[in-house]
Amino acid sequence: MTRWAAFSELRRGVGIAVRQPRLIAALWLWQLVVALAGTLPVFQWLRDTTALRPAADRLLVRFSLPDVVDAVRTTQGSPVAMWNAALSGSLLLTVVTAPVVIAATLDALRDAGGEPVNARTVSNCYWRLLRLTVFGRGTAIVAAILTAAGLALALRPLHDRSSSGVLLALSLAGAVAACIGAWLWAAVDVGAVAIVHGRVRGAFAGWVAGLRTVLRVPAFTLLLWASFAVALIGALLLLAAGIASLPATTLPLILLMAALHQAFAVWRVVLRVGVLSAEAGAWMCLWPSPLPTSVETTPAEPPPSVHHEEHPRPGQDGEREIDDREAGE
Amino acid sequence: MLRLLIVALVLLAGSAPALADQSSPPRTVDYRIDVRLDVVKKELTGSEHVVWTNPSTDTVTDLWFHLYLNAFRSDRTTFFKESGGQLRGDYMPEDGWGWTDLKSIRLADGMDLLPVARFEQPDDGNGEDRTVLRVPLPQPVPAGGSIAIDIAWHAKLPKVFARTGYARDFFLVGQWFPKLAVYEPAGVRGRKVGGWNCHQFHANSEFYADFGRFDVRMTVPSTFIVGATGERVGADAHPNGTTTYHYVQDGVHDFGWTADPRFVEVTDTFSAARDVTQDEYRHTAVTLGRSVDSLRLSDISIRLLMQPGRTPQIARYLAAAKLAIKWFGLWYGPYPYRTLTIVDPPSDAPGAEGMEYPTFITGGTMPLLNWWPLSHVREPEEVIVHEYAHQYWYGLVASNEFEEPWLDEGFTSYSTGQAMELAFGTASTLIDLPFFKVSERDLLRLTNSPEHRFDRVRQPAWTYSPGEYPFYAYEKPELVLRTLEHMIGRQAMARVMRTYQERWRYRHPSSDDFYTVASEVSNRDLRGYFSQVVDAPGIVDYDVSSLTSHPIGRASAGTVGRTAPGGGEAVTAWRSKVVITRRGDVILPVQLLLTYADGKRERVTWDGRDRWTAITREGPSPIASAVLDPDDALPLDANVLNNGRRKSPDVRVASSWAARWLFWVQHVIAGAGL
Repeated sequence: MTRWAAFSELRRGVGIAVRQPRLIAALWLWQLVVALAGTLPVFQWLRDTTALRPAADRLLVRFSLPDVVDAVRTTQGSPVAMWNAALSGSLLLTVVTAPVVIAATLDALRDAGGEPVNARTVSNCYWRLLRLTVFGRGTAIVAAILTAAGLALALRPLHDRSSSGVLLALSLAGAVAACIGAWLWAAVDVGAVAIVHGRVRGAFAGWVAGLRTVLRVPAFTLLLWASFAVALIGALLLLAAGIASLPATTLPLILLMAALHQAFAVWRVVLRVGVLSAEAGAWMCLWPSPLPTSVETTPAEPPPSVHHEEHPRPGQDGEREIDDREAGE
Repeated sequence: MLRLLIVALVLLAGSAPALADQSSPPRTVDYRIDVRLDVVKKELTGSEHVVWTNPSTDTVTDLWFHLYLNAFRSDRTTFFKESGGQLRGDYMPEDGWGWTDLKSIRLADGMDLLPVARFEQPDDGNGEDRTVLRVPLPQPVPAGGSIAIDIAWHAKLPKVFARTGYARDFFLVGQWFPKLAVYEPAGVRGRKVGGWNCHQFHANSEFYADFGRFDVRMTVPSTFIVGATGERVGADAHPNGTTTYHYVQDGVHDFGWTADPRFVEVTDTFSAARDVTQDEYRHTAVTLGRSVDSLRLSDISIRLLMQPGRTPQIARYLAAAKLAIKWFGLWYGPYPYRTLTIVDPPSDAPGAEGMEYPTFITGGTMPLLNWWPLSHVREPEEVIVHEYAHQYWYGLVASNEFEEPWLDEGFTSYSTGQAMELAFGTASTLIDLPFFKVSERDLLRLTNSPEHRFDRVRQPAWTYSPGEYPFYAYEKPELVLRTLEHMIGRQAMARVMRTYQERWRYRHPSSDDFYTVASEVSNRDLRGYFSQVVDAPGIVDYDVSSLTSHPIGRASAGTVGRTAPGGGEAVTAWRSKVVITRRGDVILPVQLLLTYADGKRERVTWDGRDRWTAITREGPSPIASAVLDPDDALPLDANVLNNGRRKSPDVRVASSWAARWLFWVQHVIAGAGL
């Protein structure tokens, strides 16, 4: 039941995303613009170091680390610092604007009818969402790494027994770390839903609410993210196969490769919005108003299908805010 | 009577080559060792009877020994001061000390020489270093004479992080017994006067010893599986739960062994009939200018001691070993021993990986390489081929690793690269993943930086600038030999290597000895080349600094020709100028390929003697591009990218890789931003 619910919720979420082409286009364009800002200095450096050097043409056929290193050695100053600056700058801009992007996305999903994004909702949520995303996602990444490292260490004796023991230990460590990471990442998503819907006041309360939701439907969450990963990896494999069959050695082929890249980027945005939509649905289904204050009063693992109706706005239909103290903050 | 005389002459004639045959191993040392391993305390208790025969015409008054486990005695030893207590990034644990304490050094008459023995520090005068022991003799050893010594000792193995020691129940026992140094007679390696050549244990070098026979008995708990240098000739189980393993090997200069209860033991045979094709024999015979029969190899027993977590890599280990046995046997001469033992150290003993002892090597891999796609990372193959190549360059041609490490590691790296490229191709020799390939050449180019300009290839291993040893001992020598191969041709290079191996097998050559062989076999004086790239710190770096073209002839409309950039009159002639610069110190002739806009090509050879030169051409077509070393004949060139220049910019590479960069940045952003 849960397995199919996760898959169908993702499919339903993707359907909702597809029906909002302006939202998808805006998200993709924003990501493209920020990435371009971090790419232009790299392009300039590559052009300066390779355009007049025939030896660099090897790089059209395959990636050659020595040629890149030669280019770095030929450059005055440090191109590595430039790459770092470009990447860090793009990343910083992304993190700082993430609350706006998330709030706008969730607001748009709530108003699936096509109402414009409520700027006030977005601005009201900004700082809480920033704290939530930085803390929550940081926690997810650190927890996943620590889990993997801890389990790898704990399961080390399996390495000494057989190659299947090695495989088992590595698979277990990887799988558990992925589960922990997925749950904690999803908790941030659901926390953001709670904040945007005005159901919690503080960032930490949002995270706790997200965590509670995820822990109520752990299998659903995992399968939702597993479906996301499968759809993404499948598309990536298709992309890789496409690019491998079209070696980008001429400018038209390079443009075609870039177009394929962007098609994949759009698909990723669609999938991600689909996941967010499914998570928002799970939240609305699990915590209908009035919000229960203890997990015992709510049914376990209900089918979280809510996309057939619009999500209520804060204050409507008896929806109420969860106080930080109530959520454990 | 006449018949008898003829027979006698024939016998003498027949025996003369055998006596003069340099491929017969000398027996300068003869060890008989008994050792017991305490697997709980990680200690060795041993006794050895060693007979040393004076190989010189000198009268020798003392004996010099290596006591290399003492390198791990404290943080004040020379090894620790040089290495900082680490090797290849693996650090010495706090409780991992090791040492050797001698109990007695007795002559045949029972006289104990221990009271007069003294630790020496010939390399750095570090009084805290006890890795070299000098034992004055009451009676000198005459020229050609022998002396027998009995030594009793007790040793503690270090936790393995550098070459030798233990990790849990795994033991790699190397540098473990009091080992005699090399007495070099006058004339050997350029010596004017004979004398002992004995160095302290250094961070970057540890091998130089004399050939002889090893007869070793190791007693360990019966649950342990043992592998060692040479052939096992006996195994006696004792009632106390221990077993004594007896190994013997002649014609070697060191002895290493291992013990671990977890080893998975695999045996196989390299079959000269099955594993070498007739085509391979024939092709090698043509290359070397020998008969096929003179190249015939022998069968070799391979014993692989594998960690249980890596059994899927057994086939890779064995295939790599057979590959190496075949090609090095064909190229450099047959492997003269009957066994090869390969040890796979566990993951928590990386310091034991990639080690070489005569007939005994250790591999290097990780469990992740068991499965696709990482099974296409050829680290295990490369390590096995490399360590087996040491059987030739260190094992059989026993150069002095301390003083000329390139003759050991550099020749081994060159041989490894040749075999790996032959087996796995030149494009993806080391890593062959779907979207990431690394060749041997890539690896060499990565390390060959113009910044390496302060050391020489030929200098003692402990005198390189910090961190520079790997480049000067491994990579640059490989580049030197690869460049030499381009200079004299593949066939001549193959003959040089074969001749060098044959002439110096079971002996101790110097770099000069190799220069002599290379010049003699290639029939070229190569000393100028070696003096620049081995004996001096020079680098090779050529650069096409500029390429310009100007119209010099114009014709009115209707004349066949090219239109000038400004339009109007058609251009009928161009003057093109290419400026080439020699940025490195090394002077080598280099080819320049000029490609004209109309597709015509021209090759020019520059002798490279000046720091720069300009090449000017006038003609109906401008030069579109100029490329130095178009045939990649100078692997030593430290920057390949600057070897060419074209007139019109081409942004395809920049566009292609910027698009990929954009793609991945976009995904980082997508992950962090939504």
